[in-house]
Amino acid sequence: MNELPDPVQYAVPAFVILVLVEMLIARRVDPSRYEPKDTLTSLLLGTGSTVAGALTGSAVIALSVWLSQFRLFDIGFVWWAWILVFLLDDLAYYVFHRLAHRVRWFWASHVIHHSSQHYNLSTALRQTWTGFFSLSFAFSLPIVLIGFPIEMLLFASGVNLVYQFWIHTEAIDRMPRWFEAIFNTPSHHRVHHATNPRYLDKNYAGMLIIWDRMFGTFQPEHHEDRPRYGIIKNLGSFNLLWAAFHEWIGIAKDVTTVPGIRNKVGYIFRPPGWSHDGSRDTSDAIKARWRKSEANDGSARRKGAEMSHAE
Amino acid sequence: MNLTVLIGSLAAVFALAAIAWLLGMGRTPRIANAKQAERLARDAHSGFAPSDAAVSRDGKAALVAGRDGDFVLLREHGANIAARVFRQAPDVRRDDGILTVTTGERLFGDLRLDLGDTDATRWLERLEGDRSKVTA
Repeated sequence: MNELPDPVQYAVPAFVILVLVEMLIARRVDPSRYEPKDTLTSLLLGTGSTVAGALTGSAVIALSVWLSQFRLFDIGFVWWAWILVFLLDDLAYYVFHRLAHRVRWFWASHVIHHSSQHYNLSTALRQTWTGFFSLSFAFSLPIVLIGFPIEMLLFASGVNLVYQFWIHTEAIDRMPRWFEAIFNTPSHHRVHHATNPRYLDKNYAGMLIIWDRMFGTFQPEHHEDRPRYGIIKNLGSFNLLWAAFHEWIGIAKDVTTVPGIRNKVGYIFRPPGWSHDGSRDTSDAIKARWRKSEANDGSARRKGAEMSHAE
Repeated sequence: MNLTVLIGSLAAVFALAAIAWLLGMGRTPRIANAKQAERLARDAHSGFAPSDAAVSRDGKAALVAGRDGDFVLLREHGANIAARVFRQAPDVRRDDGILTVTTGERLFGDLRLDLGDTDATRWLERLEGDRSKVTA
């Protein structure tokens, strides 16, 4: 096996320094961008995620090695394979990430990353403990089956993860127009972390925003609709274990209390917020209500303008 | 990951959180008045049409009633406000001027609204009235 460095391991010291720099900037601009308890929770969740990854990583590699015997092609370490593997890994991330927001099973694992009401570099490190359990690694396996070297794929995934660190900030407004058109940026990703109805379930990109533009999930940030971060039902607690497992506990409670197999399956695989009796809100329901109220407000404004014009 | 890396990571984590604390980051928000509470409730619950709000005198929490019989409960959480939506009047109890709203969530906790005697009584009667209409 070709030994390639782990980009994440090399980036950790830079992560620490950049969090510190952002904190100092926030102190001058807006001290509410950081909150000590939130920062501690995010960073401990990040540390826990690294431990979980270390415990389960070898199983994922072993599975990949086993699967690679069924590969379609023998792709070596050639230059074009590097380009392709970065593109395919980023596309796989887009697919995973979209499903992580639309299927409660994957959301239960991914929600940790969204559960802070802050959006800063420490939020980037707020990562899941249950990624292995939710089988989120499965989305990369087709790339192994095509025949790309596993080390190459692991390296590309690592670079993708490191790239996504810097976009978790309010310290950068917009990047140059050409960059915003191709790459995921702080502005695009603020939209993704926002709970404003306009922004829900948008901008799933990892490194390249082109996937969202191609598949109809792109939403630009509007300055007049400032993102409000977190989840629809914010935790209201800094409890580490609750942050890590609350949605799994929610699934377990729903599945054990609701009657009927169809409902039980619905609580596992239907979108977050789905309920058998319509007592909860999915993002689609929230968006629909928002569109209706926007339309009502719009027509009220138009009527007001017409009346003042007539006067 | 070996034990040395883990201990080093934990040390960096606690150091960064301590620096955030020493820098005085994360100002506790206060809900200043009913208008602000209504705006926060609209942000928390899409399509919500507020009709009335009870804001705790310490500004730490508020209960906002909606025109459709729904309610939004707001409380400070770190440097932010966390909310809970009730599709019907929540369970409450009154101790003098304090109205306590039951959320049924241990980690979110029940909410104490310091409203003063008159407002606490008015809101208690209103919420109990709403609840009895629903159960009738």
